Amino acid sequence: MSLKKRIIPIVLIDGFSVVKTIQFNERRNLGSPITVARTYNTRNVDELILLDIDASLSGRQIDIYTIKEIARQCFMPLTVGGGLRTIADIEAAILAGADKVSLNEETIKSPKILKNAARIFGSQSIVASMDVIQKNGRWQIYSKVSDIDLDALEWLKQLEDNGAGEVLVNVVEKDGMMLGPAAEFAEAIANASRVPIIYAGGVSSVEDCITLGKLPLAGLAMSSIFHFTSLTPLDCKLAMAEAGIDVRLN
Amino acid sequence: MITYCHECIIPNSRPEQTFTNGVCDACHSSKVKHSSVNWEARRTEFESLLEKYRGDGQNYDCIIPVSGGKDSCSQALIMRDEFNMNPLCVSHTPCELTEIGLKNLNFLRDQGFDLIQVSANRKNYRELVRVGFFKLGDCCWPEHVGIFTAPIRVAVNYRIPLLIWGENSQFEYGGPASRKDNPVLDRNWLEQFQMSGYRISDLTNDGINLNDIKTFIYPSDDELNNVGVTGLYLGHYTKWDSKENADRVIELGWSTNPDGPIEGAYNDIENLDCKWIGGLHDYMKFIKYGYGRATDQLCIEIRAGRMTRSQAIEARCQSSEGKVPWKYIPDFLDYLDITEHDFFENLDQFTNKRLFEKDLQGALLKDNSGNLRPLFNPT
Amino acid sequence: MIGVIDYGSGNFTSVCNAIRSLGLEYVAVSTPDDLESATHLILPGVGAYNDCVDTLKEKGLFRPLQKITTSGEKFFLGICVGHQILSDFGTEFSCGEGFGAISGNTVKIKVENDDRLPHIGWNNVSFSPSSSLFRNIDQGATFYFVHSYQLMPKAPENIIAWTHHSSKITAAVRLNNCFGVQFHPEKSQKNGLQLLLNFSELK
Repeated sequence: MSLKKRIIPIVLIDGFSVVKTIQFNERRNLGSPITVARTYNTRNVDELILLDIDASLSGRQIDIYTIKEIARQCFMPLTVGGGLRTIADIEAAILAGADKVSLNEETIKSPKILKNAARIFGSQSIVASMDVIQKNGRWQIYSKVSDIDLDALEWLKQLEDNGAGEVLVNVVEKDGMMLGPAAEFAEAIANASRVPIIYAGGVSSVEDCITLGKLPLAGLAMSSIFHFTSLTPLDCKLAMAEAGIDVRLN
Repeated sequence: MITYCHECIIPNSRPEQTFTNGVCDACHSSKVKHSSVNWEARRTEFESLLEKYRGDGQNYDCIIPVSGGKDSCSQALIMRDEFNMNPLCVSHTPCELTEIGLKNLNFLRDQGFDLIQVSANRKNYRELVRVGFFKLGDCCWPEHVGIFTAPIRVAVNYRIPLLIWGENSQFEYGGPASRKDNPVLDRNWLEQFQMSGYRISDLTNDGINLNDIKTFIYPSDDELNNVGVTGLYLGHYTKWDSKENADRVIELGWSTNPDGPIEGAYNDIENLDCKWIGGLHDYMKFIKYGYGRATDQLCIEIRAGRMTRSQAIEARCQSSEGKVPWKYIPDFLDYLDITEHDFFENLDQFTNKRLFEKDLQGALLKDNSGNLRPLFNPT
Repeated sequence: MIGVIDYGSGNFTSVCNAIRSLGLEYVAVSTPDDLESATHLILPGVGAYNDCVDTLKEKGLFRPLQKITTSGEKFFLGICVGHQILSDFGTEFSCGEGFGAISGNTVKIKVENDDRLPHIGWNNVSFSPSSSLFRNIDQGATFYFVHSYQLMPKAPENIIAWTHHSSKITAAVRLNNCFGVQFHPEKSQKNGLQLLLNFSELK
């Protein structure tokens, strides 16, 4: 009897469609968010992460219509993120049906938001998302809108101190590449963490799931693997279970 | 923000569409098609490939997946009469075959082609349509799966390794760059581009027994390797032109739609074989992405040089694209035994709210016929 | 008739969606008057203990619900924070009073080794075999948890289900007609929906 390792599909939306990025850059338009969400609901996935990747860049509010529609028929936990800048934004997302919200850019611009949000909504509802890249052999934070030079593990500590309930780590250079995860970094951050860590970036096979599943990560998040291969979340979990990793199979 | 290609009228909401300098990759491909491809060399390459498969006429030496449409009938004629192959035509019966659809399949047989019609049992086909409509936002989802699976199954069972498909749709209409030069259609292609993210294994969660939907199950890799199944795109080796295809078959007696363009379309020569592959299927595309069949067809006209962009915009306005396809809706309600209320409630759920006008409460605005008011149109 | 308390809690909509998907009717309860028609009350809850209490007080619902949970005059199901405030006190951020229906406090969970807080994700739940709330649910079925605090009843017989995260954690409590679940049945798919159905059928 113990907490299960989670397999969490990430669905990226750009305000109109589901998209998949490669290294946070190139994009493929994959169609209707409702279709994708219902597919994952059918699969009884552990959770779903929905990220509006244009909201920050274009300065608009997160796509509430889509969140509402997806949440309506989703009986699994839903984390929503993208362009959440204020407490009002977070409240709107939660009222639209999100169980947890993911904050990224805003935590860099004004770190206080984490503390305030955790105070109001409970830290268990607040996921801090961090995008990381490797520069000169060192893992550091990557931001689309701010110029920042900050060590990844240092930043993790700050996020935890400020009340993040969970941290979602996205490895930019592995994103969408289908070439495997940054396993060493995943191990480092898993061991350094005090809160649950969800790893995302490059997971492309059941072997990758098993490798990461053996680390003290709370869950693995992935996207390309489900859009572009025949693998489903259940396939990944069955392989992990066979390798002795505790996952939810019912 | 919805933007449109500067040269045709396809919007950036189309799945798999990419744009470079404001021009969609289908238009880029079209230029390549007309100017950079050495069609002679491709044809020679094709002929030498076919050499390995061509038989003496006693047995079939290739399979042509057909729907009875202008393109697949053309493929059959081209492969037999120009390339001297001995094709077996294979069609996967649509959800609800129309009279004109049957007529054109008969046309194919009148031209001297043997045809295998793979007809899935209606009991489970209906449930797949239900999944497609309510879950995936595509009432014809099982048709897409079936037309790319049934011919492969026949290839394996009849031990006919070569399949000749029509156009490479990623090249002609837009898709990931990696697919454009790859003239092979395989299981991964089907899973990436035709299944809306769903997998056959997911259907067990919908209460469907996989043993009851054999015609939708792709053969295993072992089965494929055993026979050496290969699919080639005719559109990679010869210059694809859908109007030429239409002219070719119409001259021989193929029938266009007697009532003119089907609902939501510009021309009367496409999607004639199923009550819902035009009409409802295209309408579901419209509510999700903001464009429909007329747009697709007009873009083909633009890229072929038969129409200017302004003419296409005008023609689109005159078409019934985006209008509720009432003609076969009563039949659809009957087919799935659902109410009009549930039908429209589902359509509304799939409608991308950011594409259409809403009232102050956020509800979609509709006219008396239930038509939506698009916020974006090509200009 | 099921009454779902609407006091601005985030998971109100999810709970209603789940109830609706079971084909059951419900009313939204946002004022004390609304309580009248409901026989089975559900108090959803996410967020902090104190905020939950304060908001219920602002809406005039705290005292009526306290009365209902202690008297057992209606069936009651508290979810997550809605379950925690059944206790006497909560210790999140500051000490705050709860309904006191189930004697005990809400305290922070202690973790060790690789276990982290919050306790987030799917975990197995063991429950009292005779529990009507868990009818037609397998022993060890997984439910979705997301919390850092747990309700520790003074009387062990009030605990009807538990899970494990570094140590035994209270998963569900009961006193007569008053129930509380730490996990989120509205997000626990098949098992959660069964539990909600079971609650609705209590007589």
